[in-house]
Amino acid sequence: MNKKMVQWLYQELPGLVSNGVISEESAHKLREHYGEIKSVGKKWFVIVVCSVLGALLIGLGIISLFAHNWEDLSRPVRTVLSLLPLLAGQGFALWVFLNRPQSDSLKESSATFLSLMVGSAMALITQTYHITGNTADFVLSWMLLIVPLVYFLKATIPAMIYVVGISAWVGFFWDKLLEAFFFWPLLAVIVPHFIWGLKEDKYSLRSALLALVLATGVCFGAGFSLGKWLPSAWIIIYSCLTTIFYFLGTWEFKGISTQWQGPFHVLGGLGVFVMMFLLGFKFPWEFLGERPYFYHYDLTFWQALPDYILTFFLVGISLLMFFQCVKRKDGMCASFGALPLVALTGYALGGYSPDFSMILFNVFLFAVSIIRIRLGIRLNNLGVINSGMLMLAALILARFFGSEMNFVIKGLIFIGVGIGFLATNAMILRRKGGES
Amino acid sequence: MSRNLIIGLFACLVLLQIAVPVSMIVQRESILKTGTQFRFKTAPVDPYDAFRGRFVALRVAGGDNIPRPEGLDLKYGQKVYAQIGLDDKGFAKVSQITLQKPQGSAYMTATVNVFSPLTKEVVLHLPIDRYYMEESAAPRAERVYREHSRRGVRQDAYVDVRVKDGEAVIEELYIGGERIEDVLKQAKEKK
Repeated sequence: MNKKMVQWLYQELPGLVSNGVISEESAHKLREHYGEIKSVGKKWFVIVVCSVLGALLIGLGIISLFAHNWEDLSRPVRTVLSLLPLLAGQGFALWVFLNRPQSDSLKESSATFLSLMVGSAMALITQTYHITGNTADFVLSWMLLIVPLVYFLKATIPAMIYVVGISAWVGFFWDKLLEAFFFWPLLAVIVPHFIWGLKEDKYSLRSALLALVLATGVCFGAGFSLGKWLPSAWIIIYSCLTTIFYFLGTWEFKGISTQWQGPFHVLGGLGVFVMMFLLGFKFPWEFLGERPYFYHYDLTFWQALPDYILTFFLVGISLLMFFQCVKRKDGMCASFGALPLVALTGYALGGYSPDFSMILFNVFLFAVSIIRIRLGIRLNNLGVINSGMLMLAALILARFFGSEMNFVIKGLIFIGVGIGFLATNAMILRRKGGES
Repeated sequence: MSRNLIIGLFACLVLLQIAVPVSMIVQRESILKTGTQFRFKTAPVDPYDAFRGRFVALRVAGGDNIPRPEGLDLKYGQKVYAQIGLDDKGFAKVSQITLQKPQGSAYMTATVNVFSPLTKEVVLHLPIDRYYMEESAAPRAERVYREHSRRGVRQDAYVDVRVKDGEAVIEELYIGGERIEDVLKQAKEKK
């Protein structure tokens, strides 16, 4: 169970016992069942941020002291000074590794400091010798040199730096499929650490932040490395990716009490909505038959095979998850989860008729928003109702705003949508008030 | 996994993290000590692309308008070997492009930057296009550099470069025969 919920329960227990709702024995049993709360979430964050900031400020201070007289220093002196922060970072990390392996904050701060100092040393050497570098090579070397720290020191901030780094790296190969595909094995390197973090505590800030960075990195990586063999393949790829995120967030992070604890849920839900909304316009479907210049005509089947495999894997997983949802009769989940299926249909027929695919997505978004509103009313959940209402409002406003319709009618539609919002909220709040 | 093995692996990582920058240093120092010295006259840089912050954007005159060898099929971004020769004033320039490493003459590894099948001339991207300086000095240096690289005015900026086995390292950037650092220092003292 989520720590926040357990914390709330423990706060309630004395009152429940004194009011005779439960016995002291039951309260004791509950405490035994849920165990002690280790409130590492915020504490971890504060300590780590302070330690990392402290280490960084010291590092920056040292570099600033050098930089003040940088022009007057000889090249060998500059070279030695460039390496000093790296050596200091290594010494610090080694000391923590050998003497303080239990301290999370020291492990995070020393690994982060060292990660940044590796990059700083390489950059300073580059500048000392005026090296016209290949930025992609620089970033990749830096990332490969720091990623083992994630495992040696069980440090998550270097893992985030690594994911951001390889996501930036793949951007240099947006038009080179074979190089860009290496993003996926590089990303896989960090997955065991992510799984370890989830096993430790999937509701911790550490896991949530890494999940957020990972999901964002995957979206970047997919954009640069996948779908180079098929025009507008992004429609399929992002529909599947956002849906998988949504499913993961909904199934694996059920006990979230605040939205930041479920980055997959938030990113996935938002992504699914953005895709539904975007594909309700005509322009994505108008380019299905056209190949932009960077699509690789000269790729052989074997060269494009990894791209094929990963794209089909994404499609397969998202469809499988969707059918699981239908089997469970989870309407809320299935309504969002149907996105890949609708996108595949739209993609298959959009080449013949872009209008058909556009209308299909408008109907889909309309249906999903109505399902959410109905489910929200049934569950008495204002959040779900409002999300459904927002989706419906976005659909109506987007469809009517650009149309040639009379201003008076447009105005009346907008007023109607606004009244609908207010009335539904008032109705639900009154119902909730009546219940309490 | 035993603790000793983990400590050993961590030590290996530490050594590797040092080895990468140290190998960069050793390679460049070797070029600076034993490489052949060339002096390249500078050319104007694109003013829209001039602000760099930490470095002076350089363009050397010898890398433009190089005749394309007959029958050589070139592509944008392709790696080539640029043989270095001297003009009548002793400044270095790219004399020839080859796809195989030249034997017996100094050369730089470069990439094709602009290639027009019509003009049959190639513009190369040579690996000597940045002169790093301290952050506050770089924009001032860039202004001075641009003034002294403009055609028809005072075109007296040049860079000394050491070349060895295809790699090049800039030694100094000179403006009117003086190091750019000294020029900036003198300008500061005058104020």
